[in-house]
Amino acid sequence: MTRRVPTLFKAYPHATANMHPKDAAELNLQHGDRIRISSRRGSVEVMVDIGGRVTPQQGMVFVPWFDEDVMINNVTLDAFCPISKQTDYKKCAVRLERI
Amino acid sequence: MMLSREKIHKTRIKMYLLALVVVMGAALVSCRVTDSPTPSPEVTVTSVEQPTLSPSPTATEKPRATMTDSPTSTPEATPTAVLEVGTEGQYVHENLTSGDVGTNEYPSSPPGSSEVLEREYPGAPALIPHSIIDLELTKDRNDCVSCHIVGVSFGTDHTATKIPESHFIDVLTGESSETVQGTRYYCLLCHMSQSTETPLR
Repeated sequence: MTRRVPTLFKAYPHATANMHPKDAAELNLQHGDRIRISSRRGSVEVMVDIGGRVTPQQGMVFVPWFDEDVMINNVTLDAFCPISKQTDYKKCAVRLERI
Repeated sequence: MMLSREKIHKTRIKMYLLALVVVMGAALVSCRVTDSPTPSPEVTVTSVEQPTLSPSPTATEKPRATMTDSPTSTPEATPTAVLEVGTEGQYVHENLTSGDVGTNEYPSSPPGSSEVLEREYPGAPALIPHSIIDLELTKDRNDCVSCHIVGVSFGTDHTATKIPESHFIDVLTGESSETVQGTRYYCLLCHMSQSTETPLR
């Protein structure tokens, strides 16, 4: 049912790459630009969001994982804790490029 | 009497130990007996399934070859980045990413110029029909309250939806105050704008 409740879908329709405005200025990116986020494992295309809804720290990009059109888990790690088997999907080094 | 009892006790313990050893031995033997026939079919089953389930090496190496950055550490031994056709019900990556990418556009009409949106159900938080781009909502300043606390009217047609009484009542004490409660201060926790996208099926 993810994204299938109309009100909630219209509140946040598509996944975005949230980043700090200063980072976006350094990379010459503007709100709504489409970028490719890539790591050594895979890449994904997202749109930039510097609208202030979510503003992470400088040097950090956040992409939510609810959107089946933006499979961000292809970019992140497949490592896990050897003891608890907790997955480590949450963070990895990435490269951004404008499409 | 004491000695004989001790002797009896010792012999009983010995008997128990012997029985234990015998049982353990029997269990071991049975394990070996039951184990020996099963591995061979299991191995054949996995060997049959593996080629169909695992992604082909050429398909997984392609994206990796394009990656030129961070050559310090070695890549993982088992490629799992690309999902292939799922006989077990996994998602097929290629089919999903070809879909709609959208624009995430929200209404641009300024406050006081848009119609009130219908709520999903009675008692649902009111939806924001206007643009909130230039409005400030920080710990020092709440621009939403400035219009909505009294229900300011914009001309004859448009009136800001008034903040209901529930937002002024302290949940713990039940006392009513003149200002909006701190627990209700961050409006966007519940109230959200609605983009111009059409809902998915």
